[in-house]
Parts: sequence; structure tokens; C-alpha cells
Amino acid sequence: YPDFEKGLPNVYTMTAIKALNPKAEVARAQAALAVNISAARGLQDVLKSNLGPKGTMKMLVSGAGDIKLTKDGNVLLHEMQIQHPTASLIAKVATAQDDITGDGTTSNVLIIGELLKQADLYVSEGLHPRIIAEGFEAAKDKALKVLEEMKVTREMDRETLIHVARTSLRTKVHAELADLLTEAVVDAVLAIHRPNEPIDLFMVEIMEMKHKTDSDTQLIRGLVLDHGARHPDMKKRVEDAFVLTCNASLEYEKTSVNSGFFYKSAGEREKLVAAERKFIEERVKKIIELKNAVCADNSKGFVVLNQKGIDPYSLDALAKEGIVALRRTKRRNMERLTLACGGIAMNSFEDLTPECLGQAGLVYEHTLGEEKYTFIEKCGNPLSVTLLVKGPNKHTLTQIKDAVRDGLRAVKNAIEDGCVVSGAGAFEVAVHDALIKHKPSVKGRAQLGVQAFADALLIIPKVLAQNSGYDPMETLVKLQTEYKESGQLVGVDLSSGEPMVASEAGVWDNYSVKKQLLHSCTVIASNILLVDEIMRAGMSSLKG
Amino acid sequence: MCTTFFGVKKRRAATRHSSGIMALNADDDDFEWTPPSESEMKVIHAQRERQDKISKLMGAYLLKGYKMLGECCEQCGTILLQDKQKKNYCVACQELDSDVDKDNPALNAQAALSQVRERQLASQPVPQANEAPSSDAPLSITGQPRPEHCEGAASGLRGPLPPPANPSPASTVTPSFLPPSTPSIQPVQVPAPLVAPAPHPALSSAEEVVLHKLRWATQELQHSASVEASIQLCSLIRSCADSLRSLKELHQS
Repeated sequence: YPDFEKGLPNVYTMTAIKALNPKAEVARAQAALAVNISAARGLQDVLKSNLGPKGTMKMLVSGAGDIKLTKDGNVLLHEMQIQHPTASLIAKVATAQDDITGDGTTSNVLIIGELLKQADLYVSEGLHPRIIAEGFEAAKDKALKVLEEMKVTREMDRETLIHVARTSLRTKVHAELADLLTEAVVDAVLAIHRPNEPIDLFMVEIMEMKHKTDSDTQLIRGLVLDHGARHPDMKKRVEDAFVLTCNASLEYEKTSVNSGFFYKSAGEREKLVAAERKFIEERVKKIIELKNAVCADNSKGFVVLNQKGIDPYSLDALAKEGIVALRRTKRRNMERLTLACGGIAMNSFEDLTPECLGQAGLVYEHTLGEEKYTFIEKCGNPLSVTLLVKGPNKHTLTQIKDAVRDGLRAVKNAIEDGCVVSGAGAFEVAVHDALIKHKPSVKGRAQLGVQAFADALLIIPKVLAQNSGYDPMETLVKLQTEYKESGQLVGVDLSSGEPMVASEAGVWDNYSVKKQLLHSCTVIASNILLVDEIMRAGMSSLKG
Repeated sequence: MCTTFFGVKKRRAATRHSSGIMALNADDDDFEWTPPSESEMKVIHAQRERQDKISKLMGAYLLKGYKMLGECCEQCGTILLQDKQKKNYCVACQELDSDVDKDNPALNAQAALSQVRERQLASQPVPQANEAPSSDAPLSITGQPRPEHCEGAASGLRGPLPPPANPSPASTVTPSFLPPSTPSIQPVQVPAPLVAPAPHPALSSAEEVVLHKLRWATQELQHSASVEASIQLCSLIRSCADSLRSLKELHQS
């Protein structure tokens, strides 16, 4: 009989599932909670140093030796191998945050870890987790109200958008590069933005070129295609051109019907060859006619962009007429081309009219090592643009690409929300203060849950200060005093460690990011707290 | 922190360390919640710090590419990590664990009980205790308390304390935190005559071999350069000392 006074675990509490399947592995109550909290805190420790503009980067080395430098919480969590159910739950939360808003993944994981840690302080002293979860809910409602009060609704002019984009980009790449990308990103989104329609970020193409430095990244008001014309006689540079976008084959194609033909003489064979080609030649003739019709009296150029192939004979014929033809352009460029240059994408060469042509100011080809790029620029009013990312090596390119994507999302969110929120930890300090004031109006022991929530939110300014090298507690106290005295939203100034008014410094966060953050971390933390038993009743020796 | 709690129904706690604490207060049917006493707060703080350390270590390993499994270690309940060679690794058992952990109230319920007991007794007048030098197991790691002592502390709870008897010369040195009255209750260290019966040949040859292994291990430890090897050698030395001790006990019984 086990001796209870020796403090041995009570082996006689059988859980129900063990009666059914003795091999089921069960972790009960406090042990389950301790395991879950430990998993969440492990993840939090990993991501802590990545937060904010002064956060460090993590270098991920794959098995093959590829290097990826990143700061994005979502990317890191997916590269780490996690089989533990709670930890993978948190990783999924980060994915959801990334899908919906594009930013705030690191903050999300940090807040969840901190919520659980604060809850643990109370649970280990005997408070039931359900009460804390209720407290979290009440605190979240109040925090959302504070968010509504704090948001600044203003006209999304270029200036504000630049601030929003810069805040987001500075947390991903270093400051000079962030400033450069900011302009490009904001201009890109403004270009594709059509009033009263949702912004479609597919219209911004991101093209990589591995040369020069990352500061040569630029926005092209037009398109960059990653291949060139295949005919040596075609012009490399055409100015003021008509653009024909089409999706019809100009290649010789096999018949789908097997047919046979007997010929008796060389003459008949010649006729056979000519007849095979007749089909294609008709089509090419149509294009040439159109070109002549349109360009006869002026020196405009003519460019044909075909999604399908063009065979060498047709290329030859077109080149003789001075037409530049590109074949096998990407499908996603079809839509973008019509948006950039105008015109309609043609599916067949019947009924070619001048109205289906687009315009481009400059079409030229650029060779880079072995690769050729075709630039279509100076379009009249492009509703589709390209961000040309240049960098010396692969990991820089990946870094900039990820950062640009996040920056685009941030600007898009700002435009769609119509409002922004002060950043740099200002929001968290304000919510903490409001929750402490609101605490007495919450009934019962849920007050402790509210207290835990408020303390957990403060991890953001603390970690921001810590990553910059300042003492977190001291900075936090300074922030709180400043907020109490002035009532203005003060955040952490990372270069000095002093409080600063976030709005004056131009540090703005997205409203939708904060909203999604509050909702998701409360839900996940409450769910994890209320986990009473972890059961794995299947094949318990399932090795991954 | 000053918080006010209302009456809370006590939860059943099935874990090793916390059930020891709960057992102290009252049985499970008690509906009265009392705030944890100071000693219990210390225990809780120690547990929290241990959890902090474990989380940090786990984070470091995750970054190195270890896989966080869905399983827990059988001994301590920490989440297991798996390296690329598919070997499972528990950060608490391998890195945090040490001989000192036997005393650590966060880990060992017996140590926790004895710590609380000690505080209670410290408020009572403490009788003098003679300390005799340790007479057996000369190679045991210094300062390591025997589990029998903790058991003695726990068994001290069962009934009223017997009056402190003259500790026999055969009783071993007690570390400072143990209540001085327990040496007389030692179930194993009986104040038996020092003259042991003639050593059994098998036992003495076993002793020889173990001593020899111990010496070899010490030498290897001196020359070893890697941490892993040193850790393994230290555990080898520890198990040699344990076996020597059991052999001595067999001698004397």
C-alpha cells in the first residue's frame, strides 16, 4: 500500500480511459497544466530576442546548407520541429495571425507565453484555472474597448502610410533598407489601389535579381518579365510601342487525328510541308496586317506577348516585320499586363482590332549573366506594378522579399481599416493602466485574471526595452509614470530608452493586427489553462 | 503579493512534488483553503525558478534543431526533446539534476517535508547533537544526505518524537538541516557493535572490483575533455559509491 505521507504519487487514482486501455498515456490536472505552460514558455524564450527593430535575427541552416536569415515569428516556428500538441497549437496561432494580418506573430507568441506564466502564479497558489479564464475574457473585452478609444482615424494619405510601412519594415530589416523599401512599398500599393475596391496584392509582382546591392531595390511602374525575346534579329529596345497580349499558339502542332499521306515525288513533299505550315502562317499574317494597319504612318513599335509558344519560322516572319515577340510568358502576368498597359488579352487571332492593343512607353531587354529580363515601363496609368528586388546573395533576397510582403500587407491593412494605433508599446501601457482602474468593477476572483492579463501585456514594452539593451523594469516604470502624468500615449524610444510620444515619432501599428492579437491570445491561453488531462490513447509508441 | 482569496475547494493534485505539500496541510476532503505558509511559498518559488531554467534550456535546444516531442519524461514530467539521431533527451534529468537535487525542496517531496519540519523544530529548543565522523563509505560524495535520513524525518511525523537518545558512535554525520533527534530512529544505522562479522569472500571481491572501477573512473575524469564524458563518469562514480555503501551494509547486517 503506497505510503501517502511519503509524498508518493497517488497511483490509485485511475482515470477512466485507463480502465479501457491500460496503455493510454495520461497526464492529469496539475501535471498537464505544468507541461503545457512549460511548452509555451519554451517557445516564448526562443522568440523573445526577435521582437522589435532592435531584435536579433535568427540564422536557419537547412540540412543542405542553405541559409535563411529571418526575424519573422511565423517562419521560425515553422522551421522548428515541434510535435508537442500545445506547442504546435501555438505555432498554428502564429500562422493564423500571419494569414489574416501579416504581422504581429512574434508578439502573439510572447503574449501567450506571458499570459500562461502569470496565470501559473495564481494557479500554483490554489486558484482554479476557470476563474482566471473568466478574468481573461473580461479583460479582453475591456482591452478591445480601449483599442476603440485609442485608434486614430485619419485620412490614409501618403505620409501616414509611409509611417505605417516604415514601422512594419523596420521590425524586419535594418533601418536604411527599411526606409528605402518604405517608399517603394507605399507607392506600389497606392498605384494598384482602386477606389471602393479591395486591394488585390497579387497585382504587385515581386521579381528577384541577383546582382548589385540591396539598396538598388526599386519600384518599376510596369512589368518585368523574366525572359527575353528568342530571336537574334529582334530589337532589344523599343520605344512607344503597342502591346498585343495573347494566348494563342503560334507553333506547329500535331493533329489529334492520326492521318497518313503518301507522296510520290519531291514536289508533293514540298506541298506537304507548305500545307502543314499554312495554318500557322495564316495567323502570323493576321498579326502582321494589324501591325501594318496601326504602325503604318508612325514609327511606333509593336510587341507581341504570347502565353503559348512561337515556333522559329513564325519568329522569323515577325522579326522581318520588326515586331518583337516574347513567348511563354507566365500566366499570372497575363492579367497584370492588361492592367499595366491596357488592352485585352486575345485568345485567338480572328478579329484583331486596334482596340485590343495596349500601350507601353518603353520596352527593353536586360541581360544578367545567363538570364534575360524584359522591362515594360512607362505605361500610361499602370494598375499593376513590379517591385524589383536586387541583392548580392540568396538569403538577402529572401529576407527582402519577406519584408516587402509584410510591408505590403501592413499598408493594405491600414488602407482597409482606415485607422491606426500608436505603436512602440504605447498601446500596451495604456491598456494596462485602464485594466487596473477597471479591476474593482469586476466581480469576485476574476479580478485576479484581469490583473494577470494586464501584467502579461506589459511583456511587449519590456522585451522591446530589453532588446535595445536597457533595463526593462526601469524603462517600464518610466513609461507608466509618464503615461499617468501626461495622459498621452507614450512608447519606448529604442535609441535612448526614454519614453516618447509614439504618434509624434511616427510609430504606428495596424488596428487589425492589435485586434486579432487580443482575440487570439485570449482564446488560446484560456483553452490551454482549462486543459485538465492530456490523453494519448492511440498507438502510444508512435515515433515520429 | 497581497491577494485575498475566498474559500476554494482543494484540488486533487497527483504530481510528485505538490502532493507532498498538500499532504502536509490536511487531507483531500478539507474545504477550507488556507494561504500557503512561508515554507510552502519558498517551495513554490523554487519550483518556479526550476521551471524557468527548464524553459530556457528547452528553447536553446529547439534552436539547435531538436524536435519537441509530445511525450513527457517518466521521472520528472518534463517534455522530451529528440535530436537528429532519434535519441530522446530530457533537459531536467540530464542537466538540472545533480546530487544536490536530493535536498532541493522543489524536486524531492521528502526534502520538502524535511525542510518544513526543520523550520518547525527550529522554533523549539534544540538539544545538542553529537556528530560523529562518517565511518563508512570513505569514497562517498561529501555532503550527500542519505535517503534514510529523509525517511526518518517523514517517519518523525507519524508519532510524537521519541526523546533524543545518545547518538551512538556508529551513527553517521548529519547535515545541518536535519532535526537532531532522528539519528536514534535510524532504521538502518542500528547502533550495532562495530565489530562486523567476518567478511564474506564474494562481498569482499565485489568491493575490490568496485573500488578498482572507481579509481579508474576518477583517473579518466581527470583526463577527460568533453562535458558528456565527464557527466557520465561522475554518474559512474556515484553508482560505484552507492554499490560500495550497499556492500558495507550487507557486511554489517
